[in-house]
Amino acid sequence: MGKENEFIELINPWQPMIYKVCLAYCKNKDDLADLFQETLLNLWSAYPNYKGEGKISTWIYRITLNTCISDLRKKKHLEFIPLQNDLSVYDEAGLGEQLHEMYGLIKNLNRIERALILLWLDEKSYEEIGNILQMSRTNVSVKLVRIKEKLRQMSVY
Amino acid sequence: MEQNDMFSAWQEINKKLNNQEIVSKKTLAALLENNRTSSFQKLMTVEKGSCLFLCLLTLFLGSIIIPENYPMLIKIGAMVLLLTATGFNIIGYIKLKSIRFEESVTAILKKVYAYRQETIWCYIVVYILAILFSLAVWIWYSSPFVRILIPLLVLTGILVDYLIFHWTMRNLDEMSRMTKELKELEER
Repeated sequence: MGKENEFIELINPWQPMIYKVCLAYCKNKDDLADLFQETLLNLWSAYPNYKGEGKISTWIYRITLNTCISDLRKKKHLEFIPLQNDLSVYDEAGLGEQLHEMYGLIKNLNRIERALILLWLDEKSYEEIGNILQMSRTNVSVKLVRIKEKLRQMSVY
Repeated sequence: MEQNDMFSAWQEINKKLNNQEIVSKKTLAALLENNRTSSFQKLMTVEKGSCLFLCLLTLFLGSIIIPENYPMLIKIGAMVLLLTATGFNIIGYIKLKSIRFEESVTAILKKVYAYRQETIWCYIVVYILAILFSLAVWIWYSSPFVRILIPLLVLTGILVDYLIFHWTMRNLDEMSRMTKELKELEER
């Protein structure tokens, strides 16, 4: 159980971050729980290869985004794990108007664009974004300019 | 929606989620303790299982068909069909196994794309071979039993194919989306 406890302690503070990313890639509440669990399990299976080099956030972000982007899930739901009841962020009623609009816009982007905008919103530097998605700094900045413009246009129409 | 609005919306969700446990430590511990595996790992198990099954089936049927006094065309046809299906399955498993979630997003997308493409080709090639093989058996054997059995089997195959067609189409859509994203990602 030692290794499992170690992993839980490591991952626990990052749960909100994983949740925010999954929220941008799921279709509904069940899908969110599914994707969240899938990400945790992928992190757990990648954990033995984690050597503690580099930032932990980069490692978690990369696996979370790769899980969401690759979408190698079966269409059948995984056995359900309960998300804490006091969080109703996915429900329309639980979301603020701005937040609801923002996620609505983000979900209109393709999967890579979503990853880029989420990292940008989390105030990651271009270097960090490039590091997580393994893209060049220039590529990140060019894409972000295009995505922001795309989002601006989407919110106008 | 302006950039500032997006940032304030982002702060809103941060405030809501700050220091919250989405899944309690207890649930998380139970999740790991129960040795649950992700869908991806389950997919790997299925691929591995079907590889093993097809290898054994090829060996078993091969040992029955080859020594028997069947026409050479039937013997070769059956073995080609079984070996092709097994080969495709092994390649699929290797492609799936090469996916590592800690890799770059481009590498992952490329591997997922290759895996999906291989799966579709597997269905196309194996079904074509299966139909050709059935046709050869139907022509070769003139007994009424075989002449009824073969069309029935082909009909069942077509029904299964119909279901697979929708699955394949979903994959094809996914593949074209992925190709587009990969191309966009590699643009400078």
